[in-house]
Amino acid sequence: MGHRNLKAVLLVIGLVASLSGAAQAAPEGFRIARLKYGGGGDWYSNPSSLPNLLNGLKKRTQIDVADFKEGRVELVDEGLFSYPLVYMNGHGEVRFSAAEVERLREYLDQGGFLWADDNYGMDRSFRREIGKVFPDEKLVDLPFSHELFHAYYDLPHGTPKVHEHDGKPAQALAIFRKGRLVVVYTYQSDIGDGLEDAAVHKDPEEIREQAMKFAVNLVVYVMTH
Amino acid sequence: MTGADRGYRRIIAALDQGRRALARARFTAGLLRFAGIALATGASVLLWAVLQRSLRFYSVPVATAVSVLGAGVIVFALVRWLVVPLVRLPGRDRFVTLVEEKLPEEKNLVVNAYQLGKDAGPGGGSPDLIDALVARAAERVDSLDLRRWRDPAPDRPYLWAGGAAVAVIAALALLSPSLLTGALGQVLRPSTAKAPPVTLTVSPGAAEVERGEDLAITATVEGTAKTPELHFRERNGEWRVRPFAPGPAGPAGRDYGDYRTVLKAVDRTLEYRVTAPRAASPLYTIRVKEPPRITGFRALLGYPAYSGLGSETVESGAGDVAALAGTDVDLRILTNRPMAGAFVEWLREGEGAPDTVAVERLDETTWRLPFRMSEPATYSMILTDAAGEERVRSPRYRIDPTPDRAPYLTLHLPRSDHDLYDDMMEKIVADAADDYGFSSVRLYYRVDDEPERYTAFKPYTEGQNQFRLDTLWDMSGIEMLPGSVVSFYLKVLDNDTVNGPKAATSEVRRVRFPTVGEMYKEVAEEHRQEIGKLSDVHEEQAALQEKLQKLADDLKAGKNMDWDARQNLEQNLQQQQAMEKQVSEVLDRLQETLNKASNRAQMNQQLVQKMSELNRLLENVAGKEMQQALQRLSEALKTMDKNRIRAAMEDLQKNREQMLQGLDRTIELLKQIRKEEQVADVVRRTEDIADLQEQIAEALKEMGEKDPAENARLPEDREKTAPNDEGARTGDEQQAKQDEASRKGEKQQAEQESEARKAENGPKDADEASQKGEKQQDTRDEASQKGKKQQNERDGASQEGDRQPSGDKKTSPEAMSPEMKALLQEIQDLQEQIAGEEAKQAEQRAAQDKKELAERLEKLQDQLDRLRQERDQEKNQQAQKNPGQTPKDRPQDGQKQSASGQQQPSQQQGDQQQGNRGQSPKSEKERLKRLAQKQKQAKQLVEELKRRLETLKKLNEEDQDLSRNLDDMETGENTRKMQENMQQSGKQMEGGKKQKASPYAFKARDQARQLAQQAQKMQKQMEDSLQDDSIARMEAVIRGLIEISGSEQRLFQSGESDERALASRQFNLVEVTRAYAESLMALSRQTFAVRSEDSGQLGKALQTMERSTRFYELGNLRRARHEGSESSSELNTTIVKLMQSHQQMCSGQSGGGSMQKMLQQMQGLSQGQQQINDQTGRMSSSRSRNQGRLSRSAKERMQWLAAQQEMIRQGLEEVQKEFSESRDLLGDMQGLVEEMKDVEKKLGKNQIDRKLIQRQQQILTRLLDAQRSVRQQEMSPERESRTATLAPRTSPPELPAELLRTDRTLEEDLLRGANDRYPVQYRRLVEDYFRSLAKETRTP
Repeated sequence: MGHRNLKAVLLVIGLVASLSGAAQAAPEGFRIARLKYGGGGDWYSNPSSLPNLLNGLKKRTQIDVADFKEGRVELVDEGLFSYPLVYMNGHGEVRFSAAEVERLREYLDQGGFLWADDNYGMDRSFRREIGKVFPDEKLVDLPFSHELFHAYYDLPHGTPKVHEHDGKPAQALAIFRKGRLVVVYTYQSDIGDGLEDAAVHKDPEEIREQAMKFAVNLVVYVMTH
Repeated sequence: MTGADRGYRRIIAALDQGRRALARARFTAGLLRFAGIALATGASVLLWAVLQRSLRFYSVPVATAVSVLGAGVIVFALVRWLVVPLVRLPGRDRFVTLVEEKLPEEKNLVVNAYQLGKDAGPGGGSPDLIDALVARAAERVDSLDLRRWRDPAPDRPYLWAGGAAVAVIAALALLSPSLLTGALGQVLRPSTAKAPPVTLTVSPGAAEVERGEDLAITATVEGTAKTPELHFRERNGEWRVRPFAPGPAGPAGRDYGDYRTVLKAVDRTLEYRVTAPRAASPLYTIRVKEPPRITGFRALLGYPAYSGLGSETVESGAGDVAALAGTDVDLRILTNRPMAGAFVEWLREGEGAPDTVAVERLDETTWRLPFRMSEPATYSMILTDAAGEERVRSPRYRIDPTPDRAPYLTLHLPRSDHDLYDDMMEKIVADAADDYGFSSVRLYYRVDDEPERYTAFKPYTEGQNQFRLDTLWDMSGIEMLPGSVVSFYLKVLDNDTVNGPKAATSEVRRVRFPTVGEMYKEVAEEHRQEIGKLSDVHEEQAALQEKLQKLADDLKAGKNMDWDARQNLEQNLQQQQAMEKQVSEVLDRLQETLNKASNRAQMNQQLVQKMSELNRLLENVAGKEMQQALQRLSEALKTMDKNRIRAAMEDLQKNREQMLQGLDRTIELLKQIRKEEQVADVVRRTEDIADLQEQIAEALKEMGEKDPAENARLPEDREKTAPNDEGARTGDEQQAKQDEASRKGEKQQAEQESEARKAENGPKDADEASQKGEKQQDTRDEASQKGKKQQNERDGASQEGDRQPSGDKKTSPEAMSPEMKALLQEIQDLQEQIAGEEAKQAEQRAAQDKKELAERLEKLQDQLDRLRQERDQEKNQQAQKNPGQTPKDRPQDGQKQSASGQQQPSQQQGDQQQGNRGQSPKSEKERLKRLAQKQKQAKQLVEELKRRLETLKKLNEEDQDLSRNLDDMETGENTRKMQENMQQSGKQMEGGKKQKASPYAFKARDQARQLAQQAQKMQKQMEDSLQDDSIARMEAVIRGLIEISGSEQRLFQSGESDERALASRQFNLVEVTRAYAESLMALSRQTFAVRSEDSGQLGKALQTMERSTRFYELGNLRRARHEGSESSSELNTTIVKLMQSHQQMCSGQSGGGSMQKMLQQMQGLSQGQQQINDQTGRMSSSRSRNQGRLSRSAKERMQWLAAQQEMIRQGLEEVQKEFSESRDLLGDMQGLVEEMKDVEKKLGKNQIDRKLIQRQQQILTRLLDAQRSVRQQEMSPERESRTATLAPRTSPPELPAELLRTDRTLEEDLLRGANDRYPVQYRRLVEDYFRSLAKETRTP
């Protein structure tokens, strides 16, 4: 057996092991993971947002939610591929190593989905880093007619704006790979803040509801595409 | 009776005899004739029949006629020559005549006699005569011997004919018996004279063939010359016909043939028969039987024990075996039917001729071949039949021993070489995989050129074939110097016990322990580059502004917006966009630099704060207003509306002006920061030098204390020295120590003073300084106490002298000082108390009390240890003063020591330490050599510092104070002496003279400290000077603006009506205000305290004042006064803002105060956590050594650790509470708190395991992460969000179709791997993998 074959075999073993491991460890149902990234940009922001989203999904949709706890992964973690959707959020610097760039590209090209939610402050570094992942792809502003805004709830005005920082409109920027939507970057919208417990930001209920609707739509879209 | 009668009777008898002889003769002759005729006839008939059959002329009538004719002839002959002669035998009367004919001379004698005899009686003749005559006749008849009567001889032709017939028949019988037989049959039974029957002989008849074999069928046909046919069919199938071909006997005869045909590759049961004209064979069945073959292989695999695979049975159609090398294979070869024998031809790879290996028969159809997977080979299985003939030969199968693969190892973190983080923790993340497990994971590391060392991990369990090592490597225990490089790599060994473990090694990573000075230098250099780039942008921006101004002037002058102008404007816009990009790039780089700097706790946090503020400033320089202005101009250009274009240009000019100002300010501030960085660089370098020199001095001191050779000299010295002198010397040493402690205290005092000066600048620094001061005071007190204690000890030593008892210090309380005894007693009491408490205390109260007691015990034990250490040091120092003792003196001295009771324990301790530390003379020499290297390094650092000072001096010639300070540091007496001492110290150490090196090293250390203090002072002066200047300038601006505001108020409130005079006064006020605005602008270039909103507010006031002037000039007094009133109000607002900024300047804050505090608290918590982690790790190791048991003291220690963990948690909760408004800065700490609680519980229950240690590491990582995040993020005004309004926006354009086009392809090339021979485990995994793929593919 040649060296390449051996590598292929070990890769297969690794994949099978990870698949089987995931199959054993992971509870049934939808799971979402928060991305732990380097750079110090507060990857742990909006801690109650994902549990609330999972709860919302359970109550509002037929999606079978595994549990209400978010997963946490780094891009180099072997468990990355067991999540259909990875969420990242933060205030500041985001940095991906070369290996992480490769891994993220692989994850997204093989069916994964990244939802990056700018909690104000990570725009510059996120654009730079995602540019490393897909140097040939551009972030495009999703039109309101896109299915993402109508997958479960009808959001005729696109991405809701939860918090105001510097007067810019909320945007859902996207990256497509071979026709498939692989990255959604919610910019100037603070969806994560809108998903947090009401007491955290004390936002009006209608604003929080819009954020939840958007997030539910996004999950439904990801699970059906 | 008469003679005649007698004669007569004699005649009659003779006649009768004659007659009988005649009958016999006639019968014989008749028989011969008959035989001859009959044979001839029979032969003729036979010949006729033969002829007829030969001519294939079959005719029953003819045959019958011939047979009848033949029979008639024979009967005739029988009658004629056999019956008739016998029937017609002559009577006596006739026979008499026949006899008479034989006696012609007698003339009827006999007849007469016969007659006479017959007629004798009373009538006629003489009786005598008659008698005579009769007698005579009788005589004569007797003479004839009628008994031998012979008929005439038979005819010779008859004999010849008979003989010929016999010859013919014999010839036929010989030549063709069948023909003769056939002919005979035909003659005898003419009815058979029809066509002869066809006989058919078929071979093999019913048969059994092996599947696929050919079957030859032969048919022998008699009775016809026609070719027979083969009819065959499958059972109950349709008949098929196949003609025969001539057989091996050659072409067929007229009525005979030998034929053959072959049924090819018979693979199913057939029925057949052979047919010929008038004949058909029976129906035969050809049964198919399986040929002998190998039906399968069953390998019983016994894997090597280390693989953990157990045994396994693998069945396969092929005999290839691929399994882990070292596997015992019990191969079973299965055949479909019994075979007489079997053997294997085994060919090792690379060999020419195979070996014949016998295989064992297990049952009729199973053979066994046991072997071990050791080397590649091929084999072929041969089955033989009963005759020993080879019947089956299998293909050559492969034996592939799969090697135990070397493990795979991927090092994820650290990703690259880097500088060591300030927490001295290196996060190591690596994944390793092996096919059968691991035996060792080690991290090998080497500091510079020192020997390689390693630390071991065990992140796997036995048999686990993959693991992730995710750990924080605490490098604080590694002796490193600033500038040292630690090279390290991970090495994993697998558990192959067959061929020996194989290793995988990660790439080597290097972590440099940087001097912070270097960090400053690096940051300063990066900032220098960015200054250059921003200056370029500034220049280009100014040029663009100039061009834009020209275009605006043209437009103002009424010139039309022609094509060229439009082109110029568009070009201007494009260039502006390009510059924006450049600014953005600079900003990115500055952010990176900031990230680097903020990762270093040693970096001056104020400086980091300034860098952060600078970045925000630059972000605003290229902010959204400029973008909007560019957008407006771009849109205006499309409309070709002159007015709109002019307005947009003015707007752009205004924004650009602001950008220029912003750039200008950024550049100047960056220069200022750079200058501070350079100075900080110098400060840190001096501190590094001082630290390094401190290490050298301490190491020398330690070597002197622990030197066994030195200790060995002690007894002799003691012998030569009076006890009182010894006590005095000890006292001297103690005094020296006290002096040193005092010096330390002075240094701390100096530092405290320095901090106190800082405290004057603001509350934050005051807090810091206060805390630090308290700490230092504690240290100083401690040092002072230590000094006192040493003094007491010295006194004690002087007083007690030889009265101290001998014995081991640990086991003999008599060897202890009273203080130690008291402490020990207290410890014992406490231990008893704890034991008592354990028995009776109730849950919560007991735990709390126990904790407190444990803490006290801990402290007391530390105190006791310290005292012991000091006592040992004291003795060693004493020993140093007593040179000349040789090892052979020791027993004698030992006795003396016993008598004196003082030195013996020390000696034991020294030996023990030597053993523990491995300080052989050789290693000591090496250590001294390394110290010499360090000293050399320190010297180099000084040289480098001087070069830096020189450079900095040139760069800051205009700053005379700074320049003077730098010069003093570079060429001052202290520096010169320090270098000399370093030189001497290094020289002595290289010569192995540590005693001589020590004073120089200590002097150099003191001088290095002095130099560091000098640098700190210089830095402080510079900062103070800058701050004082800024404050003074700010105050001047505020004062000026207050005056202007008052003047303005007086102006618009005056009742004067002279518009010109009023306009003139207002104009003057505007001019003065503009001067202050410029002054403020200049100030903003040297401090961040001046906020853009301050200058903006002043600008607004200035504009209002200008409007007021214009209204005065126009004579509109009402409007002018109104504007004046407005401007006065705006000026006042400006003043208030400036006063706030002034206050901030005075307090030394620039907005990051709370962040700093939070950072400090978090740092404290993480340091505490690190200590807990370290101790837990040590406890874990200790427990492993004690086979999982924890000693009583270890359990107590665990309780103490649990209490410490609780404190950390409470601290974290306090931080959370205190900074609840900055919740985002710290992130989700609640999870961490819960985690800490769990750890507390586990520690409290003495549950120490690997998982616990990992969790502690995670806690520490999270604490450190939070700090980094706080450093890097800090709160910015924009982050304080507010709820958005749900204002709808317009939808972006639809997505282009090509973006949504899918061109996905199914990639199946993985299937190519199926051709490879894998061990069964791999194959199963591969199959599972493909199955899962297939499942996924099916999923819609």
